[in-house]
Amino acid sequence: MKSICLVDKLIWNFPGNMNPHAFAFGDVDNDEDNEFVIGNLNGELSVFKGNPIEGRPIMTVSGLGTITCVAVGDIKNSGKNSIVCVNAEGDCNIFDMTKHNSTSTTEEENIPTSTRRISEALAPMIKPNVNDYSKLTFTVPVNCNHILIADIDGDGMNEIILARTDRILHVYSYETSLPAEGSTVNKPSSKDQQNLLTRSGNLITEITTNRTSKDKPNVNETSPTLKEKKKWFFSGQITSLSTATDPQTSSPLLLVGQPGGHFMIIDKNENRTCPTQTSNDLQCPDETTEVSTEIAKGLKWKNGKNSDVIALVTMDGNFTFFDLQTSTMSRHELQVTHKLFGVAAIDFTCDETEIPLNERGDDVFVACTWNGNTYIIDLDFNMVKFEFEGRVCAFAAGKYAVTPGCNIPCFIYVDFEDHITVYHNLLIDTKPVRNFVELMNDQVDQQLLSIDPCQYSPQIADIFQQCLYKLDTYKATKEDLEEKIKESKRMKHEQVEKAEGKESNEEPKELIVENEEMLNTQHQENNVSEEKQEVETNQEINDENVISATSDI
Amino acid sequence: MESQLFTECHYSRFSSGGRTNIYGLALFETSMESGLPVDSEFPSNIIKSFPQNISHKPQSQNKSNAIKHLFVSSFYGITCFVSATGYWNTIELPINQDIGEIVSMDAFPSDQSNLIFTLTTTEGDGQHNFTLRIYSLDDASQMYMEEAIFRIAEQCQVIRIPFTPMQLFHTGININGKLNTCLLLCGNDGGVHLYLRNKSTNKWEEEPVRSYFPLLASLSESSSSILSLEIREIGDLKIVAAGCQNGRLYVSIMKYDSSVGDFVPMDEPAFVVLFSPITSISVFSSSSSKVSSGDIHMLVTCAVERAIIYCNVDKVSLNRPVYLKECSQYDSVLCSNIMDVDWDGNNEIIIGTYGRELLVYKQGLSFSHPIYQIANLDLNQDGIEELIVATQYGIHILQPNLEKAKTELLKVLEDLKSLKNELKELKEEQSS
Repeated sequence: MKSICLVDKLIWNFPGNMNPHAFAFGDVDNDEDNEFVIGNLNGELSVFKGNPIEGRPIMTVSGLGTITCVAVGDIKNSGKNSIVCVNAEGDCNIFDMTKHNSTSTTEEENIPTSTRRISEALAPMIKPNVNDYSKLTFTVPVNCNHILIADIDGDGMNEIILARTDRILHVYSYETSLPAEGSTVNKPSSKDQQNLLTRSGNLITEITTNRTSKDKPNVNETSPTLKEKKKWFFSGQITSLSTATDPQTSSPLLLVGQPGGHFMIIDKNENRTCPTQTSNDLQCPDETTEVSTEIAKGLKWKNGKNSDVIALVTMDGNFTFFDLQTSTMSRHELQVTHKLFGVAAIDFTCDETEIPLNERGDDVFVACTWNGNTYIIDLDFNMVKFEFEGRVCAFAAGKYAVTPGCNIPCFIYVDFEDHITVYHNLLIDTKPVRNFVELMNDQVDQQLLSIDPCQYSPQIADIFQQCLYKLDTYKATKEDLEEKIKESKRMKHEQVEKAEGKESNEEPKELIVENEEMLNTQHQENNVSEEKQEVETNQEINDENVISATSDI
Repeated sequence: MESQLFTECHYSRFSSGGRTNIYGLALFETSMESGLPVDSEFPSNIIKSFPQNISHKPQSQNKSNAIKHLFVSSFYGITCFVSATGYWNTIELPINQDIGEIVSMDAFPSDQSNLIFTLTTTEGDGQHNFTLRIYSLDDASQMYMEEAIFRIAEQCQVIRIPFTPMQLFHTGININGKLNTCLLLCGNDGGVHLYLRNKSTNKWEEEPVRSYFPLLASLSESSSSILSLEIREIGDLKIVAAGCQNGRLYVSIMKYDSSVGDFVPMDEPAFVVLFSPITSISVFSSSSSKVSSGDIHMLVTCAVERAIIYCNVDKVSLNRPVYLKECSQYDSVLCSNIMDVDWDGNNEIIIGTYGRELLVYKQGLSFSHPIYQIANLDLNQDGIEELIVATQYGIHILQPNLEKAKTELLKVLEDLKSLKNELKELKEEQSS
């Protein structure tokens, strides 16, 4: 396993302990740059954008209860992203950033309250700039710990999927009024839908004031509601949520992580399959003692087309890749001493549009342990390890805009010392350590036919070194060749002169013999003087065989 | 990526939080090769105990060319990188505990021993309690490198030293017409101490340095710590240079005198006073060739100022300094190395700084910790030299741009091929 060192990093301030899933990457202010949203157990939700001054978030909201999960997505189906923040007490808060919040004055004011606590007595408490966002609060079941925003039933509208710790999965849709049954079934054209939703969105958006709106119930006849669309029960603890695309029908699939390295696929018609189970019984194992499993979906590229590969990572280090297209599985066991978590798929190409589709690389998967060991693993199970110095409370891998206009892969570590460390410029190559002899194999067999290209030979490496670093035996060989050419030319010249002088034909032949002998002795002298291996010209073999190595000792 | 000179292919962190320093790296040149196959966990596999699957080398096997292996010390241990064909093996050298913290290290072969391994250590009680430890292994020519490393820890000679040790260095000296390898140890007493192995007792003993290196003997009068030492033979010249804590830099040029059969000083030693401690000295030739005489320069790095190249040091001594730009922007310059990074036949300068920046003539590379040592060797024996950068907590192994190397090599091979063809055509013409 290769191990690497990451250099470029940002340090942010964020206080308190947190649920390891309470973060999200996403474009919360709809400027196409990804921000990072994170919530702690003290009810503080912060948004980090770009490379912030003194590592402060651009927005912090407090008093949100025990935040367990956070997501960013177009939940209102308005073409704009919202932040969805769910707490253990059963509140689902939806935030919309109403304008860009990048002026320095507001940045100065937005400090998480916990970090301010010491200076609170001295300085007046600075209120977050409430005009920068609107907030809606809905009631959802208590003890939700996983969230996903996705269109899982193929109706073109996003749903909120919430997983509870008691193995129940809820699917909600955001409804602006009580619509007629037909309106969601008949798919409106996207443009109509957009107009409708934007308009109604404007109508209902409630701008919060300095009073927290949390205490007020904001669900009434004119307010939007979260409508429960589905409710599913599972036999195993729901450990992770993801989506994928059905390779045959291109319809959406919901993936639900189940203990023991398993997962369940729910298609848009609610058919459940459990492809990692070998028995025909589609029930997932009911042994709750089995290890927790995290899932992540990555893209595999072939001939310019991509397909989904699901990574199933158990806490104890079992990596399973499930290829949805071929329904094949491959497994790898990683020796870890600490629990693995924070599994994510990531694409190390910075700007996807710059790379033609048929040259795109497969996604790689990342997972982290509590003691900071981070494993980057590709689809061939090549692995790279990075050691983060510190204990990790939460690990996130995803794309974030450190500088405006470019969402780049980042590793984000939340530690137990109120800091977030963001590593960027991740130039990580998962391929094994390269070897120049192997790299030259296909090139060399054309040029050095006398050497078996399949066999690793220290001689080849020696020739390479001589030639590349222009070492002395190489120089001697080259000078020798040049000398011989000069000599031959001189001979030829003499030959021509003699021919012009109408000499007999036998003399040149003698000269050639003489010449050969002279060259041979010259060569031998060289060999004697050079006790090392020598790159020697082989005059007998055909022109394909340029040089061959001989040991002269 | 395309234009990058180097990409990191592996980072090997010292175990249990060990750290290295500017005296913590040694290249060891030997005919002993690796005897272990590539491990499935390569490159992160670490061998910590004697490998049972290693066999004795078959007697018939020829002595191969000189192979370079790498040793790096951290406070409490030594990490060895044994180069092999296409890979390398990492060994944590089993050294007895309670030797204290390692200050400096060197590893080299001599006429008597296949592997000599020396350490200076300090027992951490605040007292001046320093020791020089010399491990040597004779009759190891039939051993594989891994075996030799585990065998060498068995025997050790301990010499108490009454001064704070600095750099450990080895060099060849001429004693009665025979080449001997001596050990040099710089100290804070301003002296350079010379140790030789007594042929009858097989023990290492301190000998006066004056008879071999008059320059070094004269330094003890200045009584400033000698931080760095360089002795390099290029052609018929031997250049001896020493850099002190107080910024004094001494250089002496010696020339081989066939009538004496040894190197003799050409002129009086030269010296200059720089403003800060001298962290490294490298004497190098502008050409990467070992025989052809390129210009001889001396690179000196110091803690505060820019690095200085004393050009043509063999001819004009310290009179033609050239200052390296940019390198003082990244805190103290701690180390330097010379290698041909782009295979153009000319050597390039590499600078490592406490400010975690590696400067390869014009390309910069950042690291996460201060850089203490730089070296280059072909660690996986593929013909391409890897760049080794020892930072505070570990060793970075960097590979040059292999695609560039490929282009360059094909160009060179093509060149040879065309010369060869030209010669062949000429011959055919003549014989017809």
